[in-house]
Amino acid sequence: MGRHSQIGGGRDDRLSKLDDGVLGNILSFLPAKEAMRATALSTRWRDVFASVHTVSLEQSEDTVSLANGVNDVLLARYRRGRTTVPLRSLRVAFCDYNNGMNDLDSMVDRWISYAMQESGPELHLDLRLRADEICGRGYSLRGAAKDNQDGIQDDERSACSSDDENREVESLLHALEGIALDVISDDEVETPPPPKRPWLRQQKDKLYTVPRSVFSCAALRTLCLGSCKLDPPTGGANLPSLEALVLTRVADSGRKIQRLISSCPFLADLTLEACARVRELSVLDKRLRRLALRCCHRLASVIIDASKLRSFEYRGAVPAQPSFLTMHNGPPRLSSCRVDLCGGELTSEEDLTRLGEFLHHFETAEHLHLTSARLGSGIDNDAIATRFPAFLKLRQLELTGSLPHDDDTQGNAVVAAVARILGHAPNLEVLTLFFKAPPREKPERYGLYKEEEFLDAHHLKYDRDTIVLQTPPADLLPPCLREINLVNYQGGDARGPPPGNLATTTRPWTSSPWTTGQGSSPSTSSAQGGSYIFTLGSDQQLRHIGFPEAKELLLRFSTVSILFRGNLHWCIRNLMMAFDTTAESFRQVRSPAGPGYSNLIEMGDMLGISSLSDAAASVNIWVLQDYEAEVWTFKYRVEFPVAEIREQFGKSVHFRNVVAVPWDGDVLLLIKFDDCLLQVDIHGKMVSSFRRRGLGPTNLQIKQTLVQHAFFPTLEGYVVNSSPLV
Amino acid sequence: MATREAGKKMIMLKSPDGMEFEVEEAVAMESQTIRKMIEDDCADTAILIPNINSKILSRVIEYCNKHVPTTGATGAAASDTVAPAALAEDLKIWDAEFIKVNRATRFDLIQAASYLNIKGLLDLTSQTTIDTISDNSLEEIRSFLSTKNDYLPEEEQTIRRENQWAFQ
Repeated sequence: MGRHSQIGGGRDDRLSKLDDGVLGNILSFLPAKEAMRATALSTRWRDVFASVHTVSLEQSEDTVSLANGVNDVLLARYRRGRTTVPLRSLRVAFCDYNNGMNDLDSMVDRWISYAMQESGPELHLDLRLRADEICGRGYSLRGAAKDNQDGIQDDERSACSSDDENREVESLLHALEGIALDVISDDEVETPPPPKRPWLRQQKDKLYTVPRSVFSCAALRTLCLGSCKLDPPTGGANLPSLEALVLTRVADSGRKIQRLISSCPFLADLTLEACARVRELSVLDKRLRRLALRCCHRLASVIIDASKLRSFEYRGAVPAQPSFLTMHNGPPRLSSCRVDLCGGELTSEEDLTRLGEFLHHFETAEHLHLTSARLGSGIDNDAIATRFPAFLKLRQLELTGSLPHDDDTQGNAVVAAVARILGHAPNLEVLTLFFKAPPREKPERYGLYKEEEFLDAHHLKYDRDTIVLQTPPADLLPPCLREINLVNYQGGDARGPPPGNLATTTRPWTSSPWTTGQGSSPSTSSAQGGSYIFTLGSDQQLRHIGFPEAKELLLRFSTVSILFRGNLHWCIRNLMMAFDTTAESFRQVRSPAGPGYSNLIEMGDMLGISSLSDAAASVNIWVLQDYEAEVWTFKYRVEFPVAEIREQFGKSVHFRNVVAVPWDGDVLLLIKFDDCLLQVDIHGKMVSSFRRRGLGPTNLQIKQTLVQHAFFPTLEGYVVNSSPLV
Repeated sequence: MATREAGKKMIMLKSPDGMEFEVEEAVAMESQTIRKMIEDDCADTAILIPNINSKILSRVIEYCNKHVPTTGATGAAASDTVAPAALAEDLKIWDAEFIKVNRATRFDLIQAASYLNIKGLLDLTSQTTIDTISDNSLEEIRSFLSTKNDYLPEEEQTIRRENQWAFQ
């Protein structure tokens, strides 16, 4: 606190001097609750709330409290509102609508009519009445698979398909939740009717119906509605300004939804999620720029004018019919395309052939993101080969899925799938493989994770020795491929990502001997059979420098290199290599390390190496005494505090993941086991321990400096030790 | 809307410290304030931008230059102003770099964006400001903003009662 008051001493409260409109605009970026709290900051802020143009509330407590909140917020705009600004956006998201409140419907009606009344030239309305997952259809892998094609026994096959059907019915029911069966109108016949369940029937009276006035609101630019009933007027809907429409789990028939879409002449962005009664969709009277169809599992036919389509997204099963999607005037340039195949893993030839057909629609995509239960979506299967499209414009490809650690192909299927796509994508620049944890027994939730959950859900348990991805053959690699990312990959000898930070879990597939500020950086990543130089921060193309031997290629699993005397060094077990950045050549360096886990460390002005002993009970550390002559000197032997660990954690552990890092002029060992990370000093004494899932050692370091750089004081308004905050 | 292919019209902007900036009309019209002046024919010679020094004005122009719609979007339909996804992504990255400024500059930019009525820039600066204060207690926010709580105790009680829901 003292730090802040020091800053405040000579400093004006510049923010409070801005006029109400600007402050209201700033507060509009906050959730309504926080924005409202700002009224108590000082008298200057008392009336600012009247200038807030965006009101956004999300249910975090009970339903009653949320409803009161919306009422209070809308009232607060009035209370101070001598000059209330027009409302631009109203967003209310319930977790559980109708939780014991009788007059909720009329309350929501009032909010909507208030929003329309108070709106200026543009209004964005977002009303979602349930917050759970869109659809219960998760991903599932077949059991211990024997063969990709014909090995599945008949009974297995049928078990698989009935399982699928069950899931289908479940997801359908889920989507219909909140929809009374007998509101199915006469304009569409539903066959077969979903199984009747009493609780579904009970929902009938509780379903909120959007007031009709919404469908003739001239200011409406964005309309997002979830888990309610629209019932647009038969002839009267007219939304002349609507650009984006998102319908999630709405109860209306496909015909009514179609009618609504037709009444929006300038609609450019359409999203349908879990609209269980939509079977056909046709948008030919306008040119959509973005179309997303998620979990509309009954959808059988989509016809659109695709001449302006830039983004397409699909989640669901592989469409049963080739005629599922018709794109008139085919997209000339599809900038982004996501295909997410939920449900079971694709194994049958039929499914795979259909997938090949489906992908043909996206030949013009620049970014393709393909998600399925198993990484690679079975594209390695020969069934797909004849109909696999050529992605001539594809620049970025991302594949997401899981690769279970008991995968009997050792990852070969994934590599074959990648190889097939690469063979059809000659202009690919970036390839990303996103490894997900194998589906759990409970279907995976589809929706947003908090960071914590995300990390947990993706906490992978690959045995580091079982899955080692091999790069595809060099002749298959597109010439402009410049980056390969493996996210969450922990197989092979690749080291775990630094803990806790999602952004850093993306890292290059292979050796990545990067060094910022250094002129060049060789990378064996881009192709097996060739090494390439890429200068960071330059716009140069990758430069080929010849063919290294197999042992250099092994180093692609070493993630961190150390720059020392103009050479880049990296090691894996007892193999150590150096790359001369001037001569651009590799050479092997004699290494004292044993066959156990090893890593390089900078120790003062010398290069050190640590090596885990055979019994994994100690670490040996050497330093390179004479760099030119490659003479190593034994420096320390650190015995792990096994007894202490056993005492503290109640079990003995087998250490495999040990990283030595420079610390305080010496060395510190980071040891990982289970969910713990230990710091052990050179005397074998435990310095500290942390317990957190997903934590792992890294020898990447954050450097901090207390010496002020001459650059900073040149900045206007620079204050020593200023908080980076406003 | 008139096209501006041949012979792009240039506009002169002047800062109070005497600097002059020649910019394309389309770029200048990213500012609704300037657009209005141009459309009302008040912009024959140079436009003086009061209260915005040359350092800030040059940054604002840099922003507008980047955000002026590309020539591809000439159609009249409102939907045509929607940037393609990839381009929008690039812009986001550019914006993130652009706004890495100290807070004094950020305040200047907020003020400039507000006066010139440049919605994108105002939103960018506002969002950045919000990112620094959200999730903090009132006392912490006051401290960041150097705001003094000048409410009388009973006034503060009233405010809290009126907005009871927010203080639960």
